[in-house]
Amino acid sequence: MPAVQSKYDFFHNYEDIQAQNSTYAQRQFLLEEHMEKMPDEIIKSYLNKELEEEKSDKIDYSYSNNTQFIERKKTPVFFIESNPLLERAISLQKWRGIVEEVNKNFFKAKLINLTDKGFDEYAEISNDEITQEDTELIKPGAIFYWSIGYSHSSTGQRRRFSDIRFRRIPIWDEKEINIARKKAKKISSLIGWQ
Amino acid sequence: MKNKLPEIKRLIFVLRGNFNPIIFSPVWFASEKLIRKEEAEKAEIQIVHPDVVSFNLDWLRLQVTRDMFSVETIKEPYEEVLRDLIFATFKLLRHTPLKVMGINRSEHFRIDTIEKWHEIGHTLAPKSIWNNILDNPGLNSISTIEDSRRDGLKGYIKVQVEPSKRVHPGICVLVNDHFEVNNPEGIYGADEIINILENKWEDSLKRSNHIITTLVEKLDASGTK
Repeated sequence: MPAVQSKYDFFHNYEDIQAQNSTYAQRQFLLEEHMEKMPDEIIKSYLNKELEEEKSDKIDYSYSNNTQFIERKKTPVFFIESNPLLERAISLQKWRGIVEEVNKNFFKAKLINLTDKGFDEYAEISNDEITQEDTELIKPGAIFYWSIGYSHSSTGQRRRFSDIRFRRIPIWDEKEINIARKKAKKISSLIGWQ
Repeated sequence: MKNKLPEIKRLIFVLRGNFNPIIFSPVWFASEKLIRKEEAEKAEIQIVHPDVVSFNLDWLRLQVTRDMFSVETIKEPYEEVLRDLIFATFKLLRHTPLKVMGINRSEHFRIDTIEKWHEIGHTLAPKSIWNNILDNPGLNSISTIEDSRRDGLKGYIKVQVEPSKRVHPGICVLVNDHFEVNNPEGIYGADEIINILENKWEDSLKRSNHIITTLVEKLDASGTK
């Protein structure tokens, strides 16, 4: 059975950060502001950290009854009251699109179904469907995600939405392209392609 | 259960390593074209400081401290966008030492009745052992771990079930898909973790969905109806 772990031991238990919990942060500069949100013993432990470290030099950690010292000498972690995300959404249908042809007012794309297995589809999509700032990303080979579904506002209002969002990743530089070419060449020679 | 579909579906992505938090401001993401300028302008910033950065976009919550990078979304259509953002960020910051990665899925399900809700708790943790120890014991949280990964990578998969704090009566199921680098002391960059992210992302999400769906179906079928 796994050992019981302290609620504040986020350094070793990051998985505890989840929907159920608030968020977290570390460091002394925020300590005063958030002091009331931390157990006193953790604050004291941090303020007396040097003392604890001196003590800990003499401790044999192999004995379980020293666990309290191991716990106490850690830098404290405390919660920042950040605003939770309120508007949630679930897609009914989701595609990954690849731009194949760009025209003045629309582009043609191949759509790969991400919701169900199925055949690839093709579509002509008007540039008006794309957020202004994303229009510069419409180029042959560009990847986008198209989702249709429902969003739920913080007040519980349910809305149908259709959203197209282009993938934003840094452009590969010449060095990376050369590395990829070398890898591809190596693989193709291994499987006997000319 | 009224509906076997979750009311809230959340993806939380966590990296452990060594970070310089102040880099991760909305302005930086926009200047690198990883998010839209308009999004950066409208970002809800809690703090941007050398030790901690925390801000929300319409679809994302991001927090970075010296040893942790965490992003999450409750807009399921944006999960691929989230992955691309992480991938792009650490492609640019490829010398950031990354040691641990968690792809964490949590889902909140509404339960038909309080009785059924208690029944689920009793199924997961039978209370007979607590007789004469506690009065009216209730399940607060239970976690189960698959100790070694089936894909041969270092890490584990942990499943946690607890009463939902967002949906009542409801349960929250969390799958923590945990990956570690082979030699954490000898790690000097982001490549190993980012390669795992690139190669295992889809498998991880599929596995988490499968775990949650199967568990919820079993819990729904359990006990007296």
